[in-house]
Amino acid sequence: MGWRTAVSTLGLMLLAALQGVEAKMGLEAGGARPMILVMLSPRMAYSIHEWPRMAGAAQAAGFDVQVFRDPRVPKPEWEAATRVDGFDALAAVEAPDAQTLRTFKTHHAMNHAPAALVKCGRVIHPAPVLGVMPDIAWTAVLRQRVGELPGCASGPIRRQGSRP
Amino acid sequence: MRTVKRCLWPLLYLMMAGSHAADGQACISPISYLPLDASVVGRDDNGTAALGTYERISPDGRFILRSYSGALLGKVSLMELPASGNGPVKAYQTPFSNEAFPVQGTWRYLVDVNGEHYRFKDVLARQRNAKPLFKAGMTGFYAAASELVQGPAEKALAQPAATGDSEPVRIRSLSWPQSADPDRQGVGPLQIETVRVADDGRQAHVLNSTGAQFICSERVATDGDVYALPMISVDGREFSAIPQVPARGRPTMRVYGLAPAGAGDAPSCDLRADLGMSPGKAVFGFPRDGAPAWLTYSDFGSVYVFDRQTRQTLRLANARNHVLASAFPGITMDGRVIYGATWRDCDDKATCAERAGYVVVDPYQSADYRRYWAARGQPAPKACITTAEVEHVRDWFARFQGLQDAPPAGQR
Repeated sequence: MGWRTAVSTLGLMLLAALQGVEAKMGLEAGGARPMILVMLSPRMAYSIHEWPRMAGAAQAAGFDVQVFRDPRVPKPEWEAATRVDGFDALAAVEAPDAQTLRTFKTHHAMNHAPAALVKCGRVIHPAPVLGVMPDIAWTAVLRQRVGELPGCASGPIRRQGSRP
Repeated sequence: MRTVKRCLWPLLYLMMAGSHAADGQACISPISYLPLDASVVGRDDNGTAALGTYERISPDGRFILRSYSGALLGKVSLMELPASGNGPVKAYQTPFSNEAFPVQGTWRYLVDVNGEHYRFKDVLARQRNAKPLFKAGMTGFYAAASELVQGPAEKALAQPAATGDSEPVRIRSLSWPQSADPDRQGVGPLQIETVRVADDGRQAHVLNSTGAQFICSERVATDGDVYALPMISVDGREFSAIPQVPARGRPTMRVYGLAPAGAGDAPSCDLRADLGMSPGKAVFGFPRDGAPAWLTYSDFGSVYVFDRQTRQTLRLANARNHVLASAFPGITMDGRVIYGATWRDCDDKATCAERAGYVVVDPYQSADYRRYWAARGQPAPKACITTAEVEHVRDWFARFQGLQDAPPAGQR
């Protein structure tokens, strides 16, 4: 490998690294970093089981994530559910404070299905993202919500594609 | 005059209920609370019975298939409600993994999450030792299935399930797309699959299958292609879901038909109802008298019924404190609404016992239903669900499944 090749390879690697950082922060460029506030309940099948995967996908897509447990469900029921299949780490998830709880109520996001409120700065999208879904659909809907929030970072909005 | 009529109807309802009782057609209790016994199902750290989740209600309301059943019962259990009154709730173990589901409509089969179909009666009799008959249909997120029957479900249940049916059984299942291509995983409309099964009452095998078919592609321009909380109807000819990214308006719970398309094509999705809000999962009842099936759902912890014919939403009021309904209420063939819940029994304010169990409600005796018809100055089409109707449906189901306590045909 000649020095010119080595330099260009190094340059490409540097560029790729920078693009990776930019992609990770992408949604932040030009606006507030998006966040999701999530309410989980053990009374919807899949919720606890799938949440770690969905949280990871949201974070990888550039979202900050705050998760809460539904305070109406007795805490021992929540703790018992998180012990199933070894999701003990979720046992410590707290109920939201009064203001955050009001926010979930206002946005009709307390029906046991996992409900994610997409937030940028102080603005919250009026439509919660409901239910468990595969990563691509999940992050696509999150991005769609971000795209409709004023003042939010304008990362590439990837609408759902056509019929597979 | 109109005011007088409004005032008289509630009185007439009471008189009608009384006359029903007199001729042996007594109304069922407007609402019953059936607590689970913690010594049978297990208890949480607070000593409360384990409620479980993903409750699926049998057509006769006698059985409930539930997941996350707790330490004493394993992952998935079948719960049996008492025939009447406040008897104990019985529990049966099953060989299933969490989120197993019934083939709705008849409950001829129960389905594990890997697509293995078990005969309901076998699971009840052999519990964990029951064996699968065949493997077919959709798996994955929110998988659900229904038996496609000709005519009303009553007709299907009139025939015993295990006497060598000549006609193949048709099962339609619905779930999220399950593409092997990770770039396609979860992208696109929902999928359905319809299978035909030969069942001689002892053994059953798949005759053929449509394979997984994407549906609703023609709705992408209006409703997008990501649907939340899908549920197939008990007759397999409709489904409910919330389109997450509709082109216009808010995401709301909608009902779509699975209309027949051209030969070889998957059914297309015609919009049949829009609830105008986004509650929990909307579960179908049975179509009755030519009217579209009612829907039931939980919203903010309470349970509601949506009558699609009148477009009325009925809130089913509670008679206990701190009632928190689970996410999967169901409607029986006779119209009862049954759901899992926690509540508090308070003899007095100082001593409230936390309970977990099942709630059985007659929506025709709900204040909302009576108020609706009273406000119109018209008699309600139905005063209540009678004990005779409940027994009739229970007998139907027992005979269809070949349960030991089934009365001989034509007797009760």
